[in-house]
Amino acid sequence: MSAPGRVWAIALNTYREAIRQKTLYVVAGFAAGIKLLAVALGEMSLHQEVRVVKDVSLGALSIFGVAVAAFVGGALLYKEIDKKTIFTVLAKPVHRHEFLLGKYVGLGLTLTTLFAALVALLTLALSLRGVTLDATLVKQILLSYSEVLVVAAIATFFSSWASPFAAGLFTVALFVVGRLVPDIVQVAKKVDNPVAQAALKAVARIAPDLHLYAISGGTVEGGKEVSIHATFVGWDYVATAAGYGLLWSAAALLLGILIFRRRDFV
Amino acid sequence: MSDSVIRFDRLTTHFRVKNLKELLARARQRAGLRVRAVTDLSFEVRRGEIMGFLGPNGAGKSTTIRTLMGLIHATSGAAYLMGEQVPARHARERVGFLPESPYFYDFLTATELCDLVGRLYGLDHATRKRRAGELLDRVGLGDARARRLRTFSKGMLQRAGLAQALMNDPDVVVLDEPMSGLDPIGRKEVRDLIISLRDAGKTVFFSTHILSDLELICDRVAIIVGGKLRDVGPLSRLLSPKSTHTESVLRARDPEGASALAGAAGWTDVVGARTRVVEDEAFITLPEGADVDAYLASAHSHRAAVVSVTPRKESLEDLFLREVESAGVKGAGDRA
Ligand SMILES: Nc1ncnc2c1ncn2[C@@H]1O[C@H](COP(=O)(O)OP(=O)(O)OP(=O)(O)O)[C@@H](O)[C@H]1O
Ligand SMILES: [Mg+2]
Repeated sequence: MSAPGRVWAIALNTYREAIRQKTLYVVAGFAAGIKLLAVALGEMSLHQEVRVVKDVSLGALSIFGVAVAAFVGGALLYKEIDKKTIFTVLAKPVHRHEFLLGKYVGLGLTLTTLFAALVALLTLALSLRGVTLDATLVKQILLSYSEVLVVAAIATFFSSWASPFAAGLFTVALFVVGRLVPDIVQVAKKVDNPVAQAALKAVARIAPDLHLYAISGGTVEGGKEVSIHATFVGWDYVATAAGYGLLWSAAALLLGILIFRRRDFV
Repeated sequence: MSDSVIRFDRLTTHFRVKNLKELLARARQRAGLRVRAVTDLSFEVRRGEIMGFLGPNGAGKSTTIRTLMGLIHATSGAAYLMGEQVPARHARERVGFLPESPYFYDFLTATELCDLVGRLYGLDHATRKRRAGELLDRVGLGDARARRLRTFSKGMLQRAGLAQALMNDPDVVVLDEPMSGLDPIGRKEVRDLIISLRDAGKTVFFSTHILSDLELICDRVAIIVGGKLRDVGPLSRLLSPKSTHTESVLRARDPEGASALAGAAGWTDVVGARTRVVEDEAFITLPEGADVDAYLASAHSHRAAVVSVTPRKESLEDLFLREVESAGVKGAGDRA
């Protein structure tokens, strides 16, 4: 069989495992609950209801997506190694990089399903308020989706050598740093201590700039205010951010593969 | 193509000890900072044979097999699958593998497991479906095919493992303790399965520490103790064909004979026998090459009735013990 075929077989198996677990439904149910809460909050706030529904829903989408990516991703390889299910797969004519890629694609499929379910719910919640899914919302959803896939790749990298808990934690830490990259750059400009400045600059350079994906109400490009509720980024911005994510994911997976190839499974 | 299907060439696999406590303990015992699981192992498995891989617990069987299947990197030396050096990805297309105490994705059913494995081998849908059905019937899981593996017993998992190992209709089958966890009927079924694989022209390499599993079916045996190869060859050669000793039982014929029997330890000593007297019976062990005729004549003259005289041949058990003893390993040793 072709390499894509093997990667796909492993991906489908990973996906199947995820959707047969209860935890995913708990997370999805929780996120759905928050959306319902958002609708309820919208009822209460007089004129801002749509705004609240959008903000809270998109926030929930992003946070739960990242959480699932970090913790399901962090446990991605450990469980296979711990339970020795990996023996069955790696003793077949499968390259180790195919296995790792398959696991990542499977995680991606899981996250895609989660996103699809939550977006469907969001659409429903908005339609209750008489609002349809517009281009601005679609752009923000795509940005969140890209970000979650980057976080998943980072979690996969950490899971290639760390324990699930540590991998999840490292991923969340890197996510937080990534979101703060523009702030770190700002702080670096102000500090006097040259060592601290160099360190901050290095962090800002190494960490993925995840602030790219969280533009609602923030600043983008030269202090121009953008918001999901008014002016918003164009499609070219979305495409560039997605491309950046793709590169980052590829780099994280490549590093993961290099480590994973050297491992012994006993 | 050469006739060797699996070949180990001075294979050495040592493990780094990662646990600090363990490391300190090893330093104190001067045991070396690495676990020498397998050292300088060389032998081959030939096409079409059943080869047994025998060794006590911790001897390095699983480590050898995992290195062969590309799961562990060799420290030095090499292993070859059908002439291709490990990790032999292409050769693995024609190899089936059963890991030790296998554990599979427990959210899958037996059929789904076989299907997944079939996909990894690149089989089309129809072939996967047909083989999964056939193999699960063959290993006696026909009725459990639609059950989640989570609900399987140890023996059932072992059977599912055998089925998945044969999904690609392999030329070479590598099995790590295929009979463990099986009841006597299961053991016999696996033996029959292995023989039927050989009859179909396949090569089988399997590990065990159960001697009777080997004696009945193996063409050749490799013995590993303490990570080192002790012996390799056909069982008939490894087991010396001549008798090692002779066991005999005597009984007193009459009261007069009873006292003679009590002193049997004295008069059997002329042939170098060991004697144990229990009530009116004496159990005599004659060493290799002892004059059995002289012993019998002596027994006759001392009015002892000969109940039995049995020449004993070396069993695999004896061989095994001899190998473990000569390797200086005390019991099932993790002293590697
Ligand atoms: N990951 C590891 N780290 C350190 N030592 C190990 C590791 N795995 C195995 N060993 C050691 O290597 C030696 C060989 O182990 P192995 O599992 O190959 O034995 P085995 O012959 O398969 O035994 P059994 O019959 O019990 O299955 C043992 O001394 C074991 O303690
Ligand atoms: Mg073993």
